[in-house]
Amino acid sequence: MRILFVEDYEPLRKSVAKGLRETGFAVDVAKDGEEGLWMARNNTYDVIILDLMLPRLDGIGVLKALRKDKRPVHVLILTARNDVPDRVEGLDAGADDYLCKPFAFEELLARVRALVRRGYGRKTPTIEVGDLRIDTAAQRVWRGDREIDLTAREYGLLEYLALRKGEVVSRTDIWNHLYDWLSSATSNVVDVYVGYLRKKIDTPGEPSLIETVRGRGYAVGRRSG
Amino acid sequence: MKSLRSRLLAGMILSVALLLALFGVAVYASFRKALLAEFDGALQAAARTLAASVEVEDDEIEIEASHDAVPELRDPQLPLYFQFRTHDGELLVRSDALGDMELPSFHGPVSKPTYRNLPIGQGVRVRALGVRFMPGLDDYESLASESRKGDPEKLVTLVVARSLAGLERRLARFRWLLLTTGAATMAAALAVCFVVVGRGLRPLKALAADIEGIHEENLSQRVSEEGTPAELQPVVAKLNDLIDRLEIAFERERGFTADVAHELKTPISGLRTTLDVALSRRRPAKDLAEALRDSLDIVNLMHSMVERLLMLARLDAGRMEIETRAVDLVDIVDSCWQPLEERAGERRLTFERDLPEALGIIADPDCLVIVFSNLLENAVEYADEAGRIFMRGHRENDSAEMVITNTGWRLGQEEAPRIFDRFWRADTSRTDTGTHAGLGLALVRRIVLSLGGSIDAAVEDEGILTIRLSLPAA
Repeated sequence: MRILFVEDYEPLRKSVAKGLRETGFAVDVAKDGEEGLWMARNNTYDVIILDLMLPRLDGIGVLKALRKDKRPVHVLILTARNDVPDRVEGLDAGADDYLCKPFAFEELLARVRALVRRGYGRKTPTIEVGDLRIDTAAQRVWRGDREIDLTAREYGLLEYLALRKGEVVSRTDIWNHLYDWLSSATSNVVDVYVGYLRKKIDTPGEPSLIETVRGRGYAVGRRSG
Repeated sequence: MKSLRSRLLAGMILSVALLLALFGVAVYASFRKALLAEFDGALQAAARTLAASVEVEDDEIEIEASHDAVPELRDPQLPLYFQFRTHDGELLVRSDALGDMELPSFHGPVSKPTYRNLPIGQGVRVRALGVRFMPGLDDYESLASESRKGDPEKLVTLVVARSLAGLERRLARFRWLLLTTGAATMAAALAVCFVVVGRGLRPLKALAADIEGIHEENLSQRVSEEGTPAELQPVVAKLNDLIDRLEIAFERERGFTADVAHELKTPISGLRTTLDVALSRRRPAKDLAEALRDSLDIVNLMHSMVERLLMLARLDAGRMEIETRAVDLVDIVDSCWQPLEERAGERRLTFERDLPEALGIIADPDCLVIVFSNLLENAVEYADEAGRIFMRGHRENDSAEMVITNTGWRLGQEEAPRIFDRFWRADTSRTDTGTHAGLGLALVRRIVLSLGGSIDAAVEDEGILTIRLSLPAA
């Protein structure tokens, strides 16, 4: 899942980005409102975490501009301004969630996960594909009773495919959602990671859970539901 | 008496009582005078009648005083006493009503009879009229009008008296009437005063209630000037003035507190997240050390911010100890510029200065370091890339005048003086919230003022921020 974090305070930007990346998110950062808006307009994000008091263009300005563009991205406002009128203004400007500084990083993660679920129309944190079970909250994966150990990137790929269960997902889509802007990787790394993932989750002798749709991309759960 | 109401009431009641008393005494006196005049008139009429009954025949005096001649004699309730005597005091005739009682003999001339109040025994008090006249004339009136020549041997003294009981009864009744009406009037006046004073003081009560309703939480309220009596208007106006100033002070205080809270929350959230993320999984010592270093940087920043806040608070409260002495400006500027040189180099800034040798300033050296460090740091931070910082100074009379300019000012002329406001930030591309909390220049101004100097900022040339600073020269 790909996230944009717009924050002008460098230590916070650095540590939140680090924490999110370690959890498997692809993270872009912006240090002022204009940069944030530019990034949001030119990339596909699942969630934007937005500070309100930003240089050049404030958070509310960014949010209004995005909503005017009719961008469906989920926005979480993260700010030190926690008066009721501020929250109301933020939410009414089109934010999906509001979290006040200082905050617990775990809570930020949980809220981001909830927004991601919402983005894919899911209510529960668990996704099942056949006998494969993904707990998106704990980021753990089981095939039957066997727990599968995945790297953050492998997990991210699996979760993204599972969230779009039953659809054919293009390589570009996958790449857009799993790699941040600074990443030098090209979309063929997707094939490499699909290969790694298949090795870990598939049972030898059975068809792969991840189906290759020639010329279009990959899909999970099209056969079994 | 502390209560305005009781003081007013007492004053009003006392005046009413005094007025009533004066009025009562005057009315009583005139009433008594009128009664006495009436009484004396009656006595005179009786005397005239009696005198008319005296006849002189052949040098013999004959008195035909009878009940018929004096109709009042018939009244047993108010008997008329009289007696006639010759000029040498020999009793001629006395009224029967006198019985064993004695009427003393006294007299005045006909034109001015003598009146006396006196007891005549048996508890009877009378008012008596004494007159000496020459009998033999038909008309007492004519007696009165001219002084008679004649034989003084023939003069007769007449004393007429009547009991004062009736008059005294009437006076007593009148006194009683005055007293009761006076008391009733007092009671009514008391009641009216009570109500009037109560009403008169109502605006004060309303004012008190208004004031009571105003406290820290609703300082936007004002004491209503509508319907306030003229006497209270200056009070209300002053009060509202005071509340205005209080409100502004409280607003500023609140805004300041909110700013402080916000400015502290940002680094705290940075610190918390840095530690949260560092602890979220197992990490090599190198990573942990980096997180600790980052945390330490944040803590140092918070520390310096708190220090500045404390210093501002101390300066505001006048509790900062300032020890002034002569300090060399060039030395101070040198020592303040040195730590900034590296950063200025990174930004390719030039720093030029035109300072006279040995320009002394009377100031606290530690304070001066804060002033010039912050001013130069600000210039280094805000100047455009490869920009120019310039400082010059000269002595003018008793003060050292200094100017610090830097290029790269992007805001309007009117924004320039605001750089000294607490927590003010130019909304520029400056990357990091938290590196400067917007307190440095506020502190500079506060210190300069405490040192007896002045400072202001303006945009004198397009894009150049000019800060003019004046301090006492050595």
